[in-house]
Amino acid sequence: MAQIRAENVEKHFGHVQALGRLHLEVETNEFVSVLGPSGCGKTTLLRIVAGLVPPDGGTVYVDGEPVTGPRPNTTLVFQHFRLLPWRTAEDNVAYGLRLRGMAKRQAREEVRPYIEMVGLEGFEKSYPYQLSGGMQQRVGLARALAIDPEILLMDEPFGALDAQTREVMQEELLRIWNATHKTVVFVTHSIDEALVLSDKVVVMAARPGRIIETIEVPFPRPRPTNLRADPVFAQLRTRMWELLRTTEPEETGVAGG
Amino acid sequence: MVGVATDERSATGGRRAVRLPSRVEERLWWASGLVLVVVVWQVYAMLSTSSLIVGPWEVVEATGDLIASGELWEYAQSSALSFAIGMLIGSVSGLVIGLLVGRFRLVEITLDPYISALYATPLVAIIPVLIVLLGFGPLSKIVIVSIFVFFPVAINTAAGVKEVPRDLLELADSFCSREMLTWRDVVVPSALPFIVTGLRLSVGRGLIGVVVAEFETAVTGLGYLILSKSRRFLMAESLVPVVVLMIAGFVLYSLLKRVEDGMLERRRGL
Repeated sequence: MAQIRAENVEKHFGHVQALGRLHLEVETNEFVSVLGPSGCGKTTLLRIVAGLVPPDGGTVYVDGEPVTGPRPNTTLVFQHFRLLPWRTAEDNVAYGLRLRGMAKRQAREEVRPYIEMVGLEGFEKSYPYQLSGGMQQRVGLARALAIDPEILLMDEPFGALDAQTREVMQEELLRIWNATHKTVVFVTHSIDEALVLSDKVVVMAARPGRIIETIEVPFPRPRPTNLRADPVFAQLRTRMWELLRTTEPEETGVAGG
Repeated sequence: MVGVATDERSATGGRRAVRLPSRVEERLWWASGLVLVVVVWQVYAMLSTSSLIVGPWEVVEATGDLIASGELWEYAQSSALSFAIGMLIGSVSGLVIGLLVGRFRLVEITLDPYISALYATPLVAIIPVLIVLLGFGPLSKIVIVSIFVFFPVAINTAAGVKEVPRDLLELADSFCSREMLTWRDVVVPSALPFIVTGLRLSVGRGLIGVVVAEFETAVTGLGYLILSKSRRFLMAESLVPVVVLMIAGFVLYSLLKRVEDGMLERRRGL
């Protein structure tokens, strides 16, 4: 049985149909990317799966239970990091544990492996404003991992980073995912990113937001760093490009925000 | 919005690059400004033929006398105690009401007319009434200071709570935070610079409250000291409490300004 199952999910904002009768299934420990142009409702879908907003129709099931609100076994990683500016990096990472009633000192101990996992050693006492965007997102990632969730929902987590940092972070995420094997739903508008990271790519189109194609990514894991040179990569890339282009000619959805 | 901190120093408007003064230069000009005014005042007092015009030196002498006689200490203590208790009550209640108004729309709708109207009212107008109700003791002073302090704290706190980024509230939601914990982790820390601004603005108002209340009750305190000395034309002595109040206000204001700047510093770029 799929760990996440969205059935007939609908969402409207005023007259705009953000999502129309959408179906999605994500297996346990699967890495699924949701790829689509800006405004196709992919972030809305993620927020519904997270339980942050209710759908107007349909239901999302996680582990067979309908989602009615945020769940402790699911965490989000946000595009703009959303760190608490008045807390140090380690205390931001410890945020979820502190909410679960853990004492500050113990929480700082507990998060140490996660700080190491994302490569934040030496920056534990830094405040967010003292960190670069890439480092801030490492904090965001460690914060999500520290509560050891089964499901990680990532909303264009590298969208606010520059191209190089982005690739570094993709590699880091692959390494971490190989070590932890969470179920991941990863929203992106970058074809390359979706291909490099995922087991399965779900391509969405806008107005109404819907899934137009689901593509299995055949590359074995762990993935080589020169994956982009693989001819199959180029083929899949072209195919996704065509899909995005035919659905949304004015917004090809590679560069924009 | 009331009392949002601005940085006057950033208001440079020159067309060409101006060389910024060094730290030492700044200190030097700051000190000369202080000295200049005092010197001008002293010279003016010495040239004046009126016995009602006193210079800074006479004020210093009078300060010595008032300290020696124990009067200054006694009256300052009385004012300080009322001020401190009033500050505490006023800011705690202002904080609580401000948090509720800022976070819950219905509380805001219900209380806003009163808060806005009373904030705009010159509150000194109710002092005589309050004294009739509460008597000439310290209770009147404490209540008056509390009321004066309450409004800036409540209004700034409410503004701060409304400015809490939605993103961070949603973050708290996504981590299944309970309401009280969201207050602790997100709402209060986020609003804190606003709360400190409110406190900073309330220092001056609290001091006004104390002094005016002491004018009215005329029993004790620095306000009473000013009143009793000036009525006997003891100009130098009546200025001593004024200087004490000025220094107290300035010190508290600067301290809070520092706290505030420190907080804003940590939030830079976010």
